[in-house]
Amino acid sequence: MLALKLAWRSFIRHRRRSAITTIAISLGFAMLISVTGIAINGHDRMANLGVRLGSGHVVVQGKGFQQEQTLNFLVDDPERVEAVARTIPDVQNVAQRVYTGGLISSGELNSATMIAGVVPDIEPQVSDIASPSHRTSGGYLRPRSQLEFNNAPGDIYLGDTLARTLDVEVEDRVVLTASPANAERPASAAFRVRGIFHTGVSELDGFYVQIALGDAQEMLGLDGKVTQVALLLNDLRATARVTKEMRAALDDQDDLEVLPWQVALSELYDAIVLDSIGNYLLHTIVFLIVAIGIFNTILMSVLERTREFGVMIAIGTSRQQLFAQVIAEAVVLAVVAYSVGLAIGLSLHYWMSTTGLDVGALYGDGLEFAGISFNGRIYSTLYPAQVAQWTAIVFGLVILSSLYPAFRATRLKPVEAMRHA
Amino acid sequence: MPKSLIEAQGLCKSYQQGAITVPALQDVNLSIEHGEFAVLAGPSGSGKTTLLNLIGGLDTPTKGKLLLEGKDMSTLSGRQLSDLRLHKFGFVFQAYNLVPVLTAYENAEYVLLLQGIKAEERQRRIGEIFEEIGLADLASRRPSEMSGGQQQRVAVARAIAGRPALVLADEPTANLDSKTSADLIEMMHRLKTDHGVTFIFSSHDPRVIDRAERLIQLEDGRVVSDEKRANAA
Repeated sequence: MLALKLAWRSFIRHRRRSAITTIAISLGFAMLISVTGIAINGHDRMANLGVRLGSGHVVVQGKGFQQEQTLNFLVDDPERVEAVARTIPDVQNVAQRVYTGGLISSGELNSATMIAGVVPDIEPQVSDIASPSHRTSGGYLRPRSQLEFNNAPGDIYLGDTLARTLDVEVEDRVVLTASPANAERPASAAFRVRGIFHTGVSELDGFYVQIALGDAQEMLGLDGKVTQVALLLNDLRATARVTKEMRAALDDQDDLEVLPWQVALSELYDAIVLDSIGNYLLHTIVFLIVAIGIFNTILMSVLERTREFGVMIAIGTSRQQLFAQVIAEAVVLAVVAYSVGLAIGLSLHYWMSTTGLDVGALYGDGLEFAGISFNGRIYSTLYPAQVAQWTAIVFGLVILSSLYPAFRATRLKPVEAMRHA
Repeated sequence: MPKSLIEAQGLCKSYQQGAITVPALQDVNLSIEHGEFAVLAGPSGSGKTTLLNLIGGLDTPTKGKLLLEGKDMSTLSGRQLSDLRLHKFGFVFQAYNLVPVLTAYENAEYVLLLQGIKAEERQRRIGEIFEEIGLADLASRRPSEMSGGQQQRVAVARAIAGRPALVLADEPTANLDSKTSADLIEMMHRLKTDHGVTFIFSSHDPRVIDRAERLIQLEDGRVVSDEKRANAA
């Protein structure tokens, strides 16, 4: 108590110096909270957008498909995989898909394309591409059973850039060509443009098409097999657990690999990691400000009070008590600065998490990052564990940065110290 | 035979100033008994403060022994010396040396807190001392809000609050006017008489020297005279 009382009095004794240190630390910390909140939210949104536009949170594929991306690596019994997936908590939906590269043509115009065979009834529930919000014209794929004729050309759903490249509109016919599994000659099939989408992601809008899974399997000779079973989860943070449980449940199938989105969408994940490094740099700078601020203030205080500390030692203060005294002063300074910083930072976080930052206004058509397009507003997300981690780091740093000044105070010789002006 | 409170045996202290060794105390032999009101007198540089610092365990002798109630102080660890200063000695310095962020009351209480005295007892003791030495109305003032004489009285209160066996006062009146000096010396003499506290002063102030019951004269680091005076003014 005595140490804290003296520490508080010392804090308010040098108001200007304490205020400058407090402002530096608290503003740095407030900035850290705000920027990290936006980064966490951005990363979560990137991941969620990525998985909703592409793979899903967890994917089950034929072992080797991730590297080779050919039809030599298939999921032979997708129904079993889907059934297993649906028993795992947090699995919101499951989509079977076939992915392969091919060529799309209309008259003399053609383009390379990524063909996705999807289940028309399921896909709108798991993929944002299929949602009406991304559709610029037409409708979404229909299962073959809903077509006018059983042998009519299947529906195809493609990006607006690709449609312009091929000069096609809804109801126009196009031809897809791709190499079937275990076949030497490519296969072709005609499709009718059912709808056109725009995501803002150039790779999707310019090269990606969806057709019904049955049509893809028939054209590619897959006989009910798929290249991927994608799992969409309720919570991004359940990815690791669901991956683990799926691996355990499919342990008997050596020909399958279960991959989290971080592996399946490695480009996106690498971009998030890269962005996080920038964020960690900011953390380091802020923590350095905290450490240097505390070190400087406490060392100045100790040097200025050499005589006072000399007297304290002379009248019976033990060196341990003096050491604790200096540490207490650092802790008081840190508590004040940290509390102010936390209050400012959390206020900014609250505003950012409720009102958000309009990316559209700042970047026009939206901000594309790592192949993912952001539209609308960016918000802030903070997790209590993150704040607890910062608190621990800040107080750890405070103790570390006050060790030297505290040690220096305990080394004072009372007679010499009391001669100090 | 009861042991002396303090006994110096062949006490020497020298300081190094570059390549030169400067002797501050040379072969000092003396003993201080319980209840004495002794003054170390002599011109500046005669070794008064050095001797007080050695007696108070604030510095260590270059040669010789210093015994506290028969125990050689040189055998004590830093921690034991710290404990000794806390429990056995009280200090009054020329420049008052109060903790500036604490009030008069808190400055006096500081030593009692270090000693682990309970709040009630602290309050009682400081209340009595402040009443006795006329500080009752100044208890809540910070050092910067008090005159030199008032601050020195707080320093005395701090020195005696822990009930030490010996109070060491280094030129306590050097920064005070005549009236305040006389009052302070009178107050300390009364404390000696009423509470049996032993006082050792260093001073060249005639008013202090006049009140000394024992006058130890130092010159060039040596004791040149040691006189007990029954009729101190």
